[in-house]
Amino acid sequence: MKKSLLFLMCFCFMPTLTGCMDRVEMKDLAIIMAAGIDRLEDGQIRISVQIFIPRAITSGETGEDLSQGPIFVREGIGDNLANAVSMLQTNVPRRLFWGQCKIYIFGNELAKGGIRKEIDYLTRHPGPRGKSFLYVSEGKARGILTLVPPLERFSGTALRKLTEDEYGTKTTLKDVDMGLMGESESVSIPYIKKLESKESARKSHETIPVIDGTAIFKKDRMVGTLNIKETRGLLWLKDKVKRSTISIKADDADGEITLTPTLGKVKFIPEITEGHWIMNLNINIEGDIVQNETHLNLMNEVVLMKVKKKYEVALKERVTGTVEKLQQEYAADVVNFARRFHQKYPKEWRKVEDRWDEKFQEVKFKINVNATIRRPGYIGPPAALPKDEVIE
Amino acid sequence: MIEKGQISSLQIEFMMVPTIIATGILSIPSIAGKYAQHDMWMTPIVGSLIGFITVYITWKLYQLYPKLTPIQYSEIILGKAVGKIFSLFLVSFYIHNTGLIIRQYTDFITGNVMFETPGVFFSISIMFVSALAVRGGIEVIARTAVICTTLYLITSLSLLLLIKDIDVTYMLPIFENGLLPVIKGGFVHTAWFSEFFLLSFLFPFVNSKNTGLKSGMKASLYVMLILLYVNFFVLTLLADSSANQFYPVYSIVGAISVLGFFENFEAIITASWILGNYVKVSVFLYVASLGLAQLLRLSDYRSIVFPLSLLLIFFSYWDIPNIVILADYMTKIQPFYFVFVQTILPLFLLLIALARLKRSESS
Repeated sequence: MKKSLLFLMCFCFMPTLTGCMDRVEMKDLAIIMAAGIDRLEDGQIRISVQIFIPRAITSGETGEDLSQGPIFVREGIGDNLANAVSMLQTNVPRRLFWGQCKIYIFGNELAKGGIRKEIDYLTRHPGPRGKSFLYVSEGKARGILTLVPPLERFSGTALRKLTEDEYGTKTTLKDVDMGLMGESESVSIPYIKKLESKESARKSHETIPVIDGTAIFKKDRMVGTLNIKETRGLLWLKDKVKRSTISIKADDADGEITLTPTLGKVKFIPEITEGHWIMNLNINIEGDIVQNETHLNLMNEVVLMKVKKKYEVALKERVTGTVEKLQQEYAADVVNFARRFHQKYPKEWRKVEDRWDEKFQEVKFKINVNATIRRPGYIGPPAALPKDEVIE
Repeated sequence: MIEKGQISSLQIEFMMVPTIIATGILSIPSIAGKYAQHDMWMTPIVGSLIGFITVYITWKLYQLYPKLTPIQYSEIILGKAVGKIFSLFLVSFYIHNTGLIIRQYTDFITGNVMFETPGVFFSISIMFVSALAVRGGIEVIARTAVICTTLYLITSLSLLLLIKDIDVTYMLPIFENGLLPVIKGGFVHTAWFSEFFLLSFLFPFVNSKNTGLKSGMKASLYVMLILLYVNFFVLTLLADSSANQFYPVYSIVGAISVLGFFENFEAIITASWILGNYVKVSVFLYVASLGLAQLLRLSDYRSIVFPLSLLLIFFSYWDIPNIVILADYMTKIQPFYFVFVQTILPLFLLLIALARLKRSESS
């Protein structure tokens, strides 16, 4: 009797142990690979998404029609992002799945009007991940999603790969949430645009989006952009230079010498002396020479020392240009001076906390660059030049 | 004696660690962050003081009355009538508390992992498994705790994979607003640390009579270290935004990415947290049913485990309409309530018992 009762009880509990109510099959999901959010002229929000078509991959060996691509773009329009997404869902027969979406692009209009409401949705909704990348596009974000890249499978991947190689700032959803919440209330997001394809055989949409600078956000509004050169300066401050070159002019010779940094490290040392707020930026950088237009022999230590000095000056100029632009034009502290002052001088910080925007413009900065040139490349003296023309 | 099983003092440690942190790891970093901001990493140190004190009080009471649980010795200390009232209060406290634990657990699962499944499914399933373990006796709980806690702690090592992403400067400036925010944040922890009073129900079943204090203190130390470790990662990864999230640890686990393909650790972490919660619910359910059985002088506590479980599922729904109220309760009421019942009241019990002992010695 007791045994059969126990048996019965086990049966009663069995349905509770399956956990099948949330069961989702792959074939019921529409996997979103990238999303673009725009504000339309009438103030409505439009979300466009790239949805992955699984069969395009599986049929790859049996002669897939490449012109179709493995994704398609759908959109939804609503008064706010949440409504737009629910409208989007009505246009897609499968349930939208956000877990794989690593790319979120904000349209220019939306970025200028403020992105707080959209960020709130993305951080509140359990689908999108904190590690996904954010971008601001020139023009409408939808235009970026409909591009068909020649090399990658879809434009989202092209963007992700560019970002992972750090050609521009790398900004995640978490960074934006933390940046706008933090002391400086500013954040930088890579600014992307469509690369104009010069090949006549390709249609105008067969190209990729590229990172063309940095959008500067103050509070939640985009206040302006940095061009690609200024972005490099910003990247130096963010410790993230991987592939960029810098050219310098030697005094006693024609032409330029070009270097590429290999390792870089930047240290922020805030300092308050007699009421002056000073930020010391100590940049340590190592570089290799990649091109020598001059006739100088780089195997000469004196020449190398001169090049090094020039290199330091050039770097300093670049960084100075960027910081000045941030200070004077945008008054947006995307390099987080505020946090560093706060950490070192909490008392003084509290006095200026409310008017940091103005204070930031007054902060002086000193840049000390310490460059090391590791090697002059594969060759020492200039290439393809008779020996007697080489300046020792 | 109703319970005949015996456990070792090592098993006590395995049981107590998840009993404190299983729900603590979910919500403590968020609440502590609200008060202590970038000093929140050190709040467990402040909170653990209550843990050590509670373990000590519990141990002293145990030394006075070995083989007895608080339900039994409160009658000796306070007299029959008052003792019964105290016991009734203590048992209802644990019943209410167990209900809340189940609620925290189901809210976590339905809010993060399975959005469309009704929460009651998770309440019933964990309750059923725990009830089976409790019916098996304390040895069964202890042995399963050893397995579950090991798995639980191994998966929390995965936070170490985040070490390359942390920014230690978020910890600066230390003590910006003085010590008060740290104490406030630490006070939130005390609710969890005071749960070490549960030891008083477990000490009588430890096979060696002298190691209990040491293992209790060790468990308290481990809990503090684990919370320090968790808070450190939450703070250095999320900075001040940690206070905004209900489950900050869960969200930093989501950020783990090793070499770009080893991702989505949430599933593993959730699974192991369920194991931790199972231990927690089992220990609480055991204490509640053993206490109730002793209070009503039943010959066996096993017969009331299932009815009590059913009642606990109701308790998990009564009074808590949503997670905001739950968080509010954990922040503003729980520390005072828990510390009062589990640390201050036992302290009075101890003082009265010592006073009585002295009087009987002198007379």
